[in-house]
Amino acid sequence: MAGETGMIYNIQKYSLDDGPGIRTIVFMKGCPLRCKWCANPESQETFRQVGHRASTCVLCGKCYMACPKKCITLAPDDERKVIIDHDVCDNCGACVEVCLHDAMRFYGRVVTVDEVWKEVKKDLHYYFDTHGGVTISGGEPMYQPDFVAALLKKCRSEGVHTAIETCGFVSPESLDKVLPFVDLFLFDIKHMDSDEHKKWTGGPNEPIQQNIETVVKAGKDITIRFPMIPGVNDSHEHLVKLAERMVELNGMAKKPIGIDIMPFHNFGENKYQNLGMPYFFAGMDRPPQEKKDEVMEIMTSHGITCVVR
Amino acid sequence: MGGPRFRPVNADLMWNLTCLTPRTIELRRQHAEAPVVICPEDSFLFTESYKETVGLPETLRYAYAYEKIVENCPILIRKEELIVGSLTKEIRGANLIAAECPANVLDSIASGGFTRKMSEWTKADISEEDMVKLKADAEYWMERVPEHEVNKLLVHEFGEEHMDLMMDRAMIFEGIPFRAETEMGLWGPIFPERIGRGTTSFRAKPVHVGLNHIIDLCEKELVKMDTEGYYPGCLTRITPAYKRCLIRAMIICAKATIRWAERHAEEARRMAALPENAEYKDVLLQIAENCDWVPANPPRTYWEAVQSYRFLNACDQKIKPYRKDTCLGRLDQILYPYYEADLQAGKITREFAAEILGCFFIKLREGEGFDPEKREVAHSQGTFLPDITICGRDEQGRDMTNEMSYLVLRVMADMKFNEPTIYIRCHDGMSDDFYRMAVKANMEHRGGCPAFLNDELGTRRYLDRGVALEDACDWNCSGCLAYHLDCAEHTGGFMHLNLLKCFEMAMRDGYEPRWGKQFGPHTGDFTKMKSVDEILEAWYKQIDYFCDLLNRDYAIRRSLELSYPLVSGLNGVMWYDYALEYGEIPVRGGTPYPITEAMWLGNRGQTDVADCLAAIQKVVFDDKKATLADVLDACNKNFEGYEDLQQMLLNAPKYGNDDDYVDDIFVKLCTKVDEIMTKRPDPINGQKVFLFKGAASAHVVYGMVSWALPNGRNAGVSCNDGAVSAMPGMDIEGPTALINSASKFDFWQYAGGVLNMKFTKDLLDSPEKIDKVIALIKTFHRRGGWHVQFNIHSQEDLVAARHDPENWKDLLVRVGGYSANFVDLPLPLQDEIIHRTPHAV
Repeated sequence: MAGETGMIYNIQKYSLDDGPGIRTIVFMKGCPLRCKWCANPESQETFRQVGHRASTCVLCGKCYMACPKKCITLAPDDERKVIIDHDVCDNCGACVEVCLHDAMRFYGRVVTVDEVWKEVKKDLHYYFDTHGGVTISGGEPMYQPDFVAALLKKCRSEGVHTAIETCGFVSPESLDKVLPFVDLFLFDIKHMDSDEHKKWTGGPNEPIQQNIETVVKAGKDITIRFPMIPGVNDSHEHLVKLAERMVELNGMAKKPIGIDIMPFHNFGENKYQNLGMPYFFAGMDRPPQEKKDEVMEIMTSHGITCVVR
Repeated sequence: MGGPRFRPVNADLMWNLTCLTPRTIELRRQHAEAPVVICPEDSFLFTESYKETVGLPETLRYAYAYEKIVENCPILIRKEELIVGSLTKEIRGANLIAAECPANVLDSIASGGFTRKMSEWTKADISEEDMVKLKADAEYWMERVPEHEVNKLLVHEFGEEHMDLMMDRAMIFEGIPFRAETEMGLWGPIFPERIGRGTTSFRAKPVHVGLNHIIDLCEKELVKMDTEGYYPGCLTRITPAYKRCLIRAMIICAKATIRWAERHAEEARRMAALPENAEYKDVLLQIAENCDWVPANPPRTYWEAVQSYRFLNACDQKIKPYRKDTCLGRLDQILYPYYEADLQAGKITREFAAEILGCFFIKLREGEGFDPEKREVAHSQGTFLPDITICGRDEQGRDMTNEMSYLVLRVMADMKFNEPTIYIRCHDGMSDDFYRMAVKANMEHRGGCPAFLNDELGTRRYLDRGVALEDACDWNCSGCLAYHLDCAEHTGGFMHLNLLKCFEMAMRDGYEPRWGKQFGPHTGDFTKMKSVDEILEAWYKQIDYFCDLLNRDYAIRRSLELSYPLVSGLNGVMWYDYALEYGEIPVRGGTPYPITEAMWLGNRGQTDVADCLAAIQKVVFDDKKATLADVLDACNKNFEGYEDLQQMLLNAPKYGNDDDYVDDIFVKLCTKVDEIMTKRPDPINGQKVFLFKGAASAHVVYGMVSWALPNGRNAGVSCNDGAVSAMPGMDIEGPTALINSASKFDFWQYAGGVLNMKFTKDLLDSPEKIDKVIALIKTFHRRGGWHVQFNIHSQEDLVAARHDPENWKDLLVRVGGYSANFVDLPLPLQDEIIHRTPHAV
């Protein structure tokens, strides 16, 4: 039956930034977009991937010996230490099996709803104390709508507050499946111009805006999240356009909708290296304080509640 | 439940106060810059007195020696001070009495330096002249050290090999006294408890009633004894002479303490008359007036109450310099009536009250101690454990947090001293405002203070032992990780079992690898065992065997201690009501409750053993990647040539991650170990023993003597810190998972079940995040946790401090039951703290 199992790549406890209270985050694997600033590149593909983490690697060579495809190169002089030829690698995991230092690792595992619930329920005490709960993140949660709907339904039925963090680029059918079980949407807007959106993320903006309106009209709690990327979407004009859209959305909503500004960071950079993927924003600095003040000023002047993370 | 016990507090007002005035800043500066000096004056006075009192009963000789010291020692008053009562003539002076530890003194002189604390940074100075006199003094006492009857009798009863089990040898268990013979002194380091000079001898009552009242009662009791006969107690112990000597000693000590205060008054007046002190004249005259009045009489003001507190706390440290650890009780409850009355009457401002308390804290921090280098790691010298306990609930369930509780936190955060240590008795009725202030104070202090204790558990432990509710509610913290009742001091003897050693022997059929002897019973060939349960059984048998031995050992030690004919008159003064009623001090049975005289039975290593067994389960029985013979050989070789196996063992599930694979083993073995350790009653009083996880740095010492273990730990490395902390660096699932693991087993019977948590600064950078940490504390307590404390700093700070101690002298960390300056810690302990997993967002 569809939705019995899902592909996740992490469960993180004591998360303080993705929704109210103390939360557990379930990271789903697979995303329809390919944002060039993506901080979780391991979340993009829907299948289980093999990656290599140089920081714990001791260069023992076991992976090299184990690889049936001979696609691993030992590179003592390279900072990556071990180089996987991802074009040849079929993610069989023979190298993961032999690695004792958690350097060769899988990104992604198949789980059932019950398995995830078993982890999530361990922190029930903390959710109830702090009005926290569970947040499904990703990747794109609604890329696996049946599984996520089943998981959220389970959490709901046990009294746990539910949130999902979404890029919104999903079919209306998928959204419909998940929508009834979500208490809070953390909904991304990445760019107001559809062509630009497509250029930076691989997908157009219209379906996203359509889905936001669906959620807003359904009367759900929703917070807009805006990844502020230097040179991509942080021009004054664009920020004003965004603010105007916020005003528009607020006009449709029963409750005020706030916006979280997520300034660019490069914490994900080493994960690109682990997976042998190129990183577009290498060397880019985090936005200066003035930029954060500017966006705050624009949003506030439009009467929008704004938090800069 | 009635209405609130105390008036409401404006938390913001209290948070925005400060005790950092020009006066306290100057005092702190002087303290920071002062060298540490060994001050042997008291030692010479002590010896002089003993030479004069040859032949008198020991109790009186001891009281007269105290009298001699406080009537003749130098008096130091710094002109900026508000609270006086220094232990020496130096700002940072180590008073010592050679008679307590003559061999240690001679050792230190021979090695050319007195070590004050635990590291190179803290050598103390001594003048050439003092050194010569002190040497002669110590040599005098070396010839008079009493017969070493404890160890002799133990060998007589259990054979020569018995001593091999003790500290400094194979270190399977330790008890007090357990030191090598050369460390034996007259009374000092080894027998503090037997004469009622343990870590818990401070009590609030004498502050409130004043010493004159106590003297009066004592004199009346002497008359009563003459006219009506002595108290008809145990004829073999409490004889008329014994009781008379105790009461006489109490009178001598009380009068001498009053005299000590009066000498401070005289000095303050002399200073006030000097033209250069004109600016300080009024305050000095007020100090003189305070010292004339307290501790002789009940305090009339808050200032006098703090002053009386200081004298009564410090007097004990004058006569037992080697063990200065005297707790301070429930400071907020003791001082609140005086504070509130003065505040309502408009006699003081909150600022001034904070300043006075700040001066008191500086005084507490001025004491210094010394210890020979060989005990550096085992003991936390320079920490005197002046524990302050605040908050809690009264017998009606009302919150006892008051404005003094807030003030204590405020002053602690301002002063940033490693001591005094603040313990909060947390409960559901405590306001979130107070929790917030406590967490913010913790962040400012950054030394793991305050610690958060479970009020309900503390009270429940006493109810379980038949203590009445109103007394059971009145508990406070003492020592490094113990607790006691104000109505009944009950520090008894301590015994401690190294569970890792027992596990080592279970792996080797009772053979102890470090000392190379068959110490334990034969419990079967480890390599042929078929399951984790079978290994556990072997381990239980080892524990049971050593518990039995330890109990018999304790019976001998403790009864010899208790038969020693010396009682501290000062302890009698502290517990005057009981001393007069029972003719005996509490620790020797003089209380209404039969819980004194208790055996405190400690252990360490349950989390380590759980990890060992989980690793064996995973690698040997589940994955079949190795055999038990491989594991044993790897441990014997400290994993040399077995690096892959070590890594597999390290990769196995570890305690602290809310993973039932290992936590189930943990709960199972804890339950059984409890059963084994408590199945024999206290051999002296027949009561249930107190279990505890004390000895704050025991994990370092126990780790040092232990072999490599199947959890992947190398030989000699610290074992897991605290009582329920995880293997350093292995609790990777975040703070909620650690707390969940730590509260799966109900440790309510244990004192000192400490969970150490390390947080990075960014975890607490907003009010919302602080509230989430409060939720962690509350949940820990709700799930039955006892004691949690936080170290908040960045990992980089610690590593930087490790390599550049000169510039990080102010970095405080929480070790176990005490805070310490990081750079003063021995290097293995520094490494251990660095490797504890920091929890970050």
